[in-house]
Amino acid sequence: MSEKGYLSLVLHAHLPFVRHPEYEDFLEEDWFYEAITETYLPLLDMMTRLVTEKVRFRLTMSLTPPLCAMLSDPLLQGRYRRYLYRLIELADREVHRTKDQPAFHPSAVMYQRKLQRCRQLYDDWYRGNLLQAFRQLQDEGVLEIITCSATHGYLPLMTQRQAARAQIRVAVDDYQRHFGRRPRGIWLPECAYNPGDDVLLQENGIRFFYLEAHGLLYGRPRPRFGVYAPVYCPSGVAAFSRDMESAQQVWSADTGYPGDSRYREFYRDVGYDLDYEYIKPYLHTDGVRRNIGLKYYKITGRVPLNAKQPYHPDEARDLAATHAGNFMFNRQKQVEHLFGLLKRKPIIVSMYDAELFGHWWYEGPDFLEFLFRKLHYDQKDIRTITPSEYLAENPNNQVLQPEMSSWGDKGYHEVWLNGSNDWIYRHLHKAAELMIDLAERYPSASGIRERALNQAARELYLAQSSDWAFLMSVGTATSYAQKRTREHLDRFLRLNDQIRRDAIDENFLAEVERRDTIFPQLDYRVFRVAQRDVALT
Amino acid sequence: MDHSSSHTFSDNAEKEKFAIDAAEFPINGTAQLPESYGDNRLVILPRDPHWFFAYWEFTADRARQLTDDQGHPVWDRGTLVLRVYDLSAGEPRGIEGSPFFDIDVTPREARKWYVHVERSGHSYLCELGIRLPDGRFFALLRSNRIRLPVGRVSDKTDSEWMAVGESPDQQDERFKKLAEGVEQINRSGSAEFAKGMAQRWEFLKSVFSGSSPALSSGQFMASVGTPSEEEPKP
Repeated sequence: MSEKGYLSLVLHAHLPFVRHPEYEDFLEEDWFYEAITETYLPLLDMMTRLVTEKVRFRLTMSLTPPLCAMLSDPLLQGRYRRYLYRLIELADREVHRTKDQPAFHPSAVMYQRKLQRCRQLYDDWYRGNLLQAFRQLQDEGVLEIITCSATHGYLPLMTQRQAARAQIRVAVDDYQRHFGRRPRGIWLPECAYNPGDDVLLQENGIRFFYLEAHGLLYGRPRPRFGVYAPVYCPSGVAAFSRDMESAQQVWSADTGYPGDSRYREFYRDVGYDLDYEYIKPYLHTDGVRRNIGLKYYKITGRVPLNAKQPYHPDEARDLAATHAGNFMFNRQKQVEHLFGLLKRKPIIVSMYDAELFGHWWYEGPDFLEFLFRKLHYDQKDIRTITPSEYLAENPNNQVLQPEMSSWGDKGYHEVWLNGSNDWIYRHLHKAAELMIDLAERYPSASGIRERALNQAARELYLAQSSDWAFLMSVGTATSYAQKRTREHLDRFLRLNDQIRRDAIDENFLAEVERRDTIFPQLDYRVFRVAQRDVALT
Repeated sequence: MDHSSSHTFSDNAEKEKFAIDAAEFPINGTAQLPESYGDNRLVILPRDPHWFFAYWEFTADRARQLTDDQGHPVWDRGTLVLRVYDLSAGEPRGIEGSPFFDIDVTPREARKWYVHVERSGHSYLCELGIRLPDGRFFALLRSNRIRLPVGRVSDKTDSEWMAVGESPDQQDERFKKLAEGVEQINRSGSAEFAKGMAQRWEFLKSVFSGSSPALSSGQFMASVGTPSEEEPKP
């Protein structure tokens, strides 16, 4: 191939497991429905279109086990349909309402069209099974899907290695169940790495993971190619590391592309703007105004909310194309420069949260599609590539020990370990210790005891979700995060107690099983120190 | 975060939801976790190159049983300290002969601490115990061992991967170019983005002047687009 370098785009798609059958209508489930509508369906649509038109591209996505669990959950699939149909109904009314308002009508028409497209994809094409859609794209060879720890547990802060091991094992088994093969790569939650974590990956046949830039740059010895080539840890697992230039261009809320004044403003939403009686049927049952997802204003600049100007879909789309061209141009320059410096084809790893594209940055999926098209048609310096392809073509890499790091604020563990959330760790560690002991104590449980042990494991996994500590730190949905942590730990402790006293409350067990449904095939023996292979059913 | 007049309405809605919930299901929505587990343990967690976190608990029995060589209890005779042993970077080494420093634990009821260390890249281990006025120390608890990251580029270069014909200075120059902007790293990630969005939200609220009937600052709860504290949590 004549290229001078590679571009590996990585999207990390994750949501915490939020599923509340006990409520008819639950606010935080909206995070999931919004992500499907604004990110996952548009990305699937884009990839399918590119494949059909024979536009060559490669993308890597992590689909975390909690997200996979939610995508394949019948209750949530039904609720998504309900959400989508209501939104379509609103969009139809909006088209009518704005028919004499040229400033807003094009946006209304756009939403109607896009939501109808979502319905067509979700109902007609995919029949509610988005995982199958992702899997097909992987089987086509254009998408590499990697896994993530079971419930996005923060591995460096798990003092019991067996607990960290259990997060990886369940993730790998879960991936196998959904995608029909074992994962080759993993996205460590928050790219949080502690030396030795790679050994757990190697034990499970995982061949590569990702690090924030300084995790590699501060490694020992120094990386010969900086972040522009992967390295092997002493365990043999490869580590790819992030390019900061391409990260800055997109991530920065101020100076990155998404902050451009012509893009859609997130904080002007019909849920707040429109007449209350009109919009009330589309709010939650509590009737409180909140984001619905239809927005008519653009960022405009640093102006107050009531001074935002109407959004122009065409203008924004053209801008996305311009930005894609700019991104590509910068990567070309970068690759040329690095090739001269390194005398080796660099790999530029550009890592983002998937939800940035579409949900936070509405025009993000358009940007990506323009980028892939331009890379295919307009140049030959850069080849998009998946990490597995890269390692197959470039198996000879430096060995070094990366340094402890994360991609969180300040580069280490502070976001997950500070005054707002440090209280959780004594409880998580104790629960892990108890779970490991339970698994050792009852190696061949059956019947109700086995159910209780499996459910206890589920509760521990859900409590370990690093999302709760993150939300407490950022100060958003704090009481929800605290409640989830406490509830899962409380359920775990109660089950633990009941199992040990041989007094399992069957009603209680049935109720928690009904609510906390992640990993239906979970086998609590994954916590046993003396590992025997647990057969998958 | 703002509180608004809609808070009362949503409060009632929230209570209503809990009322239904409690009647139907045995699950309690306001779980309390144990104050302590009756263990004697001290755990340390790495946080970044210069900080780690310690938490502990111990039983009254364990405190009472701590005695000197004459068998006299020491609990009430000295200061509760967290003793931090600096184990040399990388070498497997016990605490004998390792340099250490003490942190006076005040108030005595504290059960956690953030420890700052001067040198990054070292291994640490802690003991919690009583230090008598004459300097003798009696350990109550001993922690696990951790290593903190170095937080800078390694001085070790890799002879196997040196470019042919390149001088050490040229190697350094090249590496500097590659590592450029690594200090910027922490400005580009999901937490930073979330903060950026929240800050933009704060800015928007602060310059807000006048409002249309449908808008009021108290109703703009969604910082970073997810529900804020004031929104009812079913």
